[in-house]
Amino acid sequence: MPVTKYEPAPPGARPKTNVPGAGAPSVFNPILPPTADTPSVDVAADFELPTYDWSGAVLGGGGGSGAPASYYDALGSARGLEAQTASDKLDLEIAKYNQQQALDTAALQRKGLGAQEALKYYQGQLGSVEGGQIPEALNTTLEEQKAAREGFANTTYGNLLSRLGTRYGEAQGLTDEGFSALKSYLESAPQNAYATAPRATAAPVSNDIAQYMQSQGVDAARVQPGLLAAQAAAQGGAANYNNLLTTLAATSTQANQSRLNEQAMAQRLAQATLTAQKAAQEGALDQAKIAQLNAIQEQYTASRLQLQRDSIARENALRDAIATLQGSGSLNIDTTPSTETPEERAARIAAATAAEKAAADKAAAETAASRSKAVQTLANQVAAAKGSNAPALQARANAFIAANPTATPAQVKAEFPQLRAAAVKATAKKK
Amino acid sequence: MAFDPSIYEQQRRNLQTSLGQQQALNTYRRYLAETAGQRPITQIQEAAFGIQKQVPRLTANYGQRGLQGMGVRSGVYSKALGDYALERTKQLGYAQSDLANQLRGYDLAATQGQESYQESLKDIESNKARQIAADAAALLELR
Repeated sequence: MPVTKYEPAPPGARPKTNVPGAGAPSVFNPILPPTADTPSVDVAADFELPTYDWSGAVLGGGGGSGAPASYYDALGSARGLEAQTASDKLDLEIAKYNQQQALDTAALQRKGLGAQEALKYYQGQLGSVEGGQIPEALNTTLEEQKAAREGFANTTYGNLLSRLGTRYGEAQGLTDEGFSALKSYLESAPQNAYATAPRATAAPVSNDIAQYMQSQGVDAARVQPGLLAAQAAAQGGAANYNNLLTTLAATSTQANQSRLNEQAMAQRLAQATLTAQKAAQEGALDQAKIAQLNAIQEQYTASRLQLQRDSIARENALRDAIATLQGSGSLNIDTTPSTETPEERAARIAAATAAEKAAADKAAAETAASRSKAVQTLANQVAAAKGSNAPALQARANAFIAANPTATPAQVKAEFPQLRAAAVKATAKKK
Repeated sequence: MAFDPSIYEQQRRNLQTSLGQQQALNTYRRYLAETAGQRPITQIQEAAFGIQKQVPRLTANYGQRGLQGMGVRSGVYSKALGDYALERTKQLGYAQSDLANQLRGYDLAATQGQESYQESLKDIESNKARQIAADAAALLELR
């Protein structure tokens, strides 16, 4: 907050104690009603610059030494009252200034402390995101999510694989059971019908009239050729039939063996089919698992990249903020805590105020000492009339004061005769 | 898809029915063939001393001509009776062989029916095993 500094104290703002009018009424010395032995002087009637109302001002005697020695003494006394008021205002301004300075210092310290705290905060934050590193909490969450999803994928894969193994075992069992039953049937089935069919035997051929022939004296051996021919026919038929059965039985046995071979081949083929199906399904499961894990990894990587981008952006923002903070100069503010007590502080401010006041008084006194009373009174009047509507007159008065610091009252009055008329005019206007 | 053994039992029953019908028919035909084949045998057997009395007539014929009788043993009679017996024995043997061969044909048909029945049963069992394997593969495919 900018501090509006007061303008330099006007020369002669505080009258000396040895000049007429010292101890005049002020905010500290209230104006008292005039007494009979201290005749009053109407300054406004003699000398006044425009816009300055002296009509109500009644001056007492200067320093208890009775009535003013002259008109200019009275005028000086009046100006002394004005100077006293200005001096009090100056005191107040100095006190306000010093107080404001103290407040400004405190505000500055707070600003410095705030900047240091902000720097600590920024640097603390920076530590967790520096170099694009992901904040620990987010990193942990990300890793946990990834582990959970991978675990789910692996568990699901394991369950499906286990289920596939169970189904494969069941299918294998069913297949083996079916083909084993077939094999058992083929092996234990009744012998083929041709093998078990009754074989033919040639019926014996006999000569049933042989006895009669013998009784008639005929040799029965004469029938022998017929017997042989009939037996040959019978045996031939039986043999052919038996050979046919044997051939058919052998063919049937071969057919059965072929069936057994077919059963073994079909069983192996079925097992191979089941194994191929299992392998295909395992492959599909592997593919699904790989795809799932790949998707998880991609999402994990994308999330990690995004977090790193965020971290880098955050780091840049923090570094920008730190740079701005360092560039502001707030970090260079002395934030050493003051050990000054309120009383010490008040005394310091008072001392500083007194010193400034003393310096101002000294300068004013030196200036006033170098001038005659009439010139000093004129200078006081000109200073009090600052901002009046008669700048030409003021300039002329200042020039006169500079050129004639020791002019007599007569010289002043001769130089500025219109002052009297102006004062009278102003008084009349106010009335 | 699902394994249904009832269809195989149905096939088996059909086979048994067919076998029974075929065997019954074959047995009946065998019986007819046997009856028909036995008739000429019986005729040959009865012709010698039956109603035809071929042997006594032959002997009587040679006896009337003085070529056979008490104390007479002619070579002509001996040859005639021997030739008769030879021819009779041969014809009788042939007839018996013919009958036996014909009956073996029916026996063979019965055996073939049995064999066909057994083979069909094996086919059913093979089909059953294949169907079980196919169903098992389908079950695995269902996962």
